[in-house]
Amino acid sequence: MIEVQNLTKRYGAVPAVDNISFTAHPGQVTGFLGPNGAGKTTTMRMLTGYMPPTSGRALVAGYDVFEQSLEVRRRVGYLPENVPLYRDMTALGYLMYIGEIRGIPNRRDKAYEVLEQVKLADRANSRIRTLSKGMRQRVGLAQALLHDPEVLILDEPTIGLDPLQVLELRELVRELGKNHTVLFSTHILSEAEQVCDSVVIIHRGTIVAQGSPSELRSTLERGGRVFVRTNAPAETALPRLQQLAQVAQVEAGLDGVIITPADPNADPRPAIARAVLENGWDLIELRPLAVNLEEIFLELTRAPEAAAEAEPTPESEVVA
Amino acid sequence: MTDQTPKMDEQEAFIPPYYMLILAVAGLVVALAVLVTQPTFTVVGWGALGIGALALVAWVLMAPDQAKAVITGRTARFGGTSLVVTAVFIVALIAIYVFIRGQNWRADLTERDTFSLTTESRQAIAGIGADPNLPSVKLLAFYGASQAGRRDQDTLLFDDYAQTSAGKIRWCSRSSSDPSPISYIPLSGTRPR
Amino acid sequence: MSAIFAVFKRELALYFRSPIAYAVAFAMLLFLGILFNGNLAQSVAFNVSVAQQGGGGVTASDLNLAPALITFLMFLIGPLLTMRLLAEEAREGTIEVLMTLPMNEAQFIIGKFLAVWSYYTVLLLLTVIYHLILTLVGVPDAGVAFGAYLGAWLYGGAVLAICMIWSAVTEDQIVAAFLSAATVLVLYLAEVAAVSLTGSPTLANAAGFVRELGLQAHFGATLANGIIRAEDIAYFVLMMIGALFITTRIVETRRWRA
Repeated sequence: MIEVQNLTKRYGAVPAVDNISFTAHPGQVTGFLGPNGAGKTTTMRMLTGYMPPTSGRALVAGYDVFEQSLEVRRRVGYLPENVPLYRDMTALGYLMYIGEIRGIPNRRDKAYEVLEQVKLADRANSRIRTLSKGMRQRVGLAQALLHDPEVLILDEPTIGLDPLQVLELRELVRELGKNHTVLFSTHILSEAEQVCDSVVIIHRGTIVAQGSPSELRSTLERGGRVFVRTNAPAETALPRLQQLAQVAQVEAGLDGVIITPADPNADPRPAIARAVLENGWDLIELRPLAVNLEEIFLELTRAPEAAAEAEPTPESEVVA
Repeated sequence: MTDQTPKMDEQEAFIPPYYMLILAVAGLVVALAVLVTQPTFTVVGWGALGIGALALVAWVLMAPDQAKAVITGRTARFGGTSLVVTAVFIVALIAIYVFIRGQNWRADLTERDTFSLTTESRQAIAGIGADPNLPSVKLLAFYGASQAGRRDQDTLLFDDYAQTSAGKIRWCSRSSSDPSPISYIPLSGTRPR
Repeated sequence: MSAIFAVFKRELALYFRSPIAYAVAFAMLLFLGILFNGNLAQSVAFNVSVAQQGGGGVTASDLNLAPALITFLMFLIGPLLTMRLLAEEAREGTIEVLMTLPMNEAQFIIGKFLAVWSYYTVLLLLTVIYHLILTLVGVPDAGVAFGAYLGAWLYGGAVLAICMIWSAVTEDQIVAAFLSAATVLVLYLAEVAAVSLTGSPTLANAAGFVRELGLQAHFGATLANGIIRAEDIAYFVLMMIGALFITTRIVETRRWRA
């Protein structure tokens, strides 16, 4: 269980994480999404007790990350971004070292057990420098699993892996999510869609949206922009579609037209379909612009910038 | 230095509180410099120390919130107070060192007792100490600028004289360039070991 | 406690696999060997001439040759042994994992310090062979040798702790090494600086202060000659404690700012 309340981290005057709140539940994988520099790593560092928050509170496994840092550290497994490891140690040696610092009894058995779990038992005695990127990632994950933590915090664990390794790792994370609280950060959003039970989207240090992947999609399908493809040339299609009452704005997209609806709570698609047919064009494609989380994400992060002056985070109310 | 105090009070209303902190630190640094470079803690030193202390009090009065945050806030464990804690810790270490040095505890490990009196000399000197008719003896040892190490070694021997003679033989070491008048007291080594 | 021991074990094992550590040991022993050989040949020749006139034995200055030279070489040994210790952990990012384990900075730094001090102790013990050679050619004063070795041991600990500060400050090992070497040289030369201060009329009082701040004032005249003074032992021990405290604070603050 991770409970974050109004957590803020400032570097000097610059807020890296600005007043965020969310909860990650046990038995779930919570995705932490955002572009690079959004504040994901900073948040995770605060949750693992590596970095003290400027203000706000975070409870991990029931302990305050600032006041009871050592208790939190006992219960958290952390895989940092870029997986820092000692290159000159063997995988087993490294796990034994971490196990000794953690004070784990019979750590040799435990080390073999987690190596088995991450399918690396056959390379236990290889030096880490000779391991491939994917294998190192798994050594890092084994390190995070060594002490049977209640909470797992994984910072971009799939970065730099080849597609097959990515699939394996996602499978492993999903498996771990069944009996741990897993917080999993990524900027590849289709990944979160596959792996996560719940998603928190962070952008420029603030939470833009949170909910289950399907909730997020339905929100955007309802009020988001629509993509239309017809056989009519853009010069004729654009002005005609602009005239519709349900349409606020029309712009030419790749092979089609992107339509912004006038009313964000109403679906403009029936009206658009009718208009296309009435004009005698062939309707080839009509769909929400955002079909996967990747595009949902772009939609979400596009909006606050446009509306930044009016409201700080307009989308967070809509979704949460 | 000392006549700056009224000026400071005048400016108080116009200047931001952290100027007071800078002034406090500057005052303490000047006082420290005086302590180190001057033979006596002169009026300049006391003045600087006074200004430093006054500025610190002024800062607490002007910005009580700031002062409170320094002691109780989150930054207490990670921020600027870290510096203060470190400074206090180092001052404490120096105090321990000064205290231990004051104990004047030393031992001559050499097998030939190079830095101690021989048994015969000890007997003779004990005789001098015990004889009430003999006047007390003052030893004055002069050392050049580069002979500080030599002085450290000889201290053992001179202390041995002083102790064996039950304080009748006193000694004092002088740097050749030291202009201050000679004073034989207080002597190191006359404390019981 | 088990955390300190875990860090200590790993670091010490690393020294015995590190090329730099072997290079330091090699260079130090080579340098000492050449000087010792020259010195011994000279003093044997001298002693022969003294013996012809009825004297004998090896003079006291020979006895502390190895420990005294090591204290001089500390401005090289210290930085080379410590530059990696914390700088590498910061650069590689491995400190991020360690600082999210149930272990505080002090345990981590004490473990590292004990490892490098132990390695230094091994180097120092290797030079005891020079003392054994001396016992073959003369009657060296065991008390002086003991004082000198005790002094060199504490002296080394203090220097290594001071060098660790710079390894914590910067991620760049080379920068850490140069800053450490400069700091150690300044502390080594403080005694010389004090001599020139004595000549100046206004700063004469500071001379004693500067001298006692330096390393050599607590070793050269006293410990190296078999004189044990409480303040010298206290100086080295407190220097270690103070430097390790500062290192801990720096690691803590760097983490907080990172």
